[in-house]
Amino acid sequence: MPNHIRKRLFFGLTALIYSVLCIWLIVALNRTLDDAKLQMKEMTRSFLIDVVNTQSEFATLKRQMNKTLTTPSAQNLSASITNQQQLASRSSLLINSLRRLNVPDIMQGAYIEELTQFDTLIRDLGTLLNTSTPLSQGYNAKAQNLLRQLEYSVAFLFTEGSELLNDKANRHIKVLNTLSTTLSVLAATVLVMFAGLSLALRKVYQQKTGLQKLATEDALTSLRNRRSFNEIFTLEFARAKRANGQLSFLMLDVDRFKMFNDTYGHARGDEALVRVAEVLRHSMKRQGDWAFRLGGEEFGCLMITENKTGAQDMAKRILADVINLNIVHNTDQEAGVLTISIGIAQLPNAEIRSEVDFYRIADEALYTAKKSGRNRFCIGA
Amino acid sequence: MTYFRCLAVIATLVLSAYGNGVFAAEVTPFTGPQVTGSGKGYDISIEGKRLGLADIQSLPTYQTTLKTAFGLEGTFVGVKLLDALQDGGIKDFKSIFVRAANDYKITVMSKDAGIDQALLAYSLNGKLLTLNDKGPYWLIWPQYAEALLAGEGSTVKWSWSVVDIRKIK
Repeated sequence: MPNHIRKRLFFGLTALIYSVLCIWLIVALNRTLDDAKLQMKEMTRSFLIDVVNTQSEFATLKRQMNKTLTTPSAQNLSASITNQQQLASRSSLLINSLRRLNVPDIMQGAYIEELTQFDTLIRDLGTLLNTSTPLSQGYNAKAQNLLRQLEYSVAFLFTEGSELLNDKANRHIKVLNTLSTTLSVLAATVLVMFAGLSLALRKVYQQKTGLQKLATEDALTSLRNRRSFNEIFTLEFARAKRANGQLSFLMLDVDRFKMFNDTYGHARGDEALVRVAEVLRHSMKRQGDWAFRLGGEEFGCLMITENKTGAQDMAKRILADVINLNIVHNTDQEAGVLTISIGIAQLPNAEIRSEVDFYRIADEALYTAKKSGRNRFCIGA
Repeated sequence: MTYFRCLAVIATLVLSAYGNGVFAAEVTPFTGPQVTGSGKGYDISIEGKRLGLADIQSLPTYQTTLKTAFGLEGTFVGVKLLDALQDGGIKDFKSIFVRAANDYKITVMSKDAGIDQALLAYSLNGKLLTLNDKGPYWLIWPQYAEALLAGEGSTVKWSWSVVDIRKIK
């Protein structure tokens, strides 16, 4: 797979994985926070139920006490004592329930104080019920006073308990909401930054690729340039030498190109070079085939062939294809159209020891082809 | 530059997430014509003193327009709780006991935030509040109306059908 596609796939996949992770994180986080909110509400509700039950038990006690004060029978008194004992256990129950909610001490100070007051009052009422008889002096007034104070106390426990817990729950929920929003925004920010980084990296990669292309490509013909040729020629030569493999180097030169330029102008000359380059590009399509513009009207092709005739067949085809371009060149008296000459150097060849030899032999063969009448190829020995 | 613009947008989002954006409903003096009724069922006991609708209406009256967390909305007219308490003889207090006709009981503390704006409302949108419509007197807290709608705060002190107020401390 080409390197640039691999890099793009890497960025795309990483961005996708990160996006999925972010979404999963946000969903999981919000679910956890919702659970925490529900739990908080549930605990608050549970405490308030205890308070409301206290209110209800007090209402029962008050009704029963009024009965006892109106009809001070042993049965009524006994029922009042039962109600009082039931209510007496409420203060400790409410304190424990409040502690479970983990309300800060500073918030529950006055509330605990009132619970203690409630506890004292209910025990005072218990003492009154157990030690005095309903008809004794001051009994009624004491009982009514205690009931009134208990009523205030129960109202306070209900009102302030609701406020306290609501405040506590709201603070918790607000913190959780803020946390949720902040984390969501943070995740989104990181996602945006990641996307930005990906884009920036892609741009850098594109610029780098563009620069690489500029450095290795001929601006007119888009074939590889001389610099690229130097690198590839050395590498391919070394590889073929090491493996004692088949490698052919074709050096091509447009015939009488100076004359062509002088006759038809540089614009037509450039156009002709582009069309010749196109022929080479189409001919050098296999893996391991290379086409270069070496400079001016000079081109080069490197190709791996199975045998020595492969390069000759290719040279014949190129010569024919260039003629078939039918680029009029009237000053060339033999052909009447633009032609090229080709010099071929081939490996393996014991005489060729270095890439300089390889190049030189192709160059000499080209010279021979030119000398022999042009529009032909020659194989260097 | 685009990067900084993105940061600014994100910062705004974060800041707006932290802000609560809750505003209180305004309480202003009421100067319109007073609604009158038969007067029956509009008595309230403050520290044992019985006050009728005319007594209540003789105090400075105020109006506030809000939507309650209980669904009713519009312009409420009533007297300030503190004025009513003073008229009933409760000048200083730490806490008071408020009882409704349905035996709903709460306490109100002098230090409760917004108590100076709390109203004993007797009319809504030009009509007297009836016993079925939270009447005869509804203790409303305009300062928290919008917070309640936003799901914050407690409705426990919004006691309707108030018939009895006594000083505890």
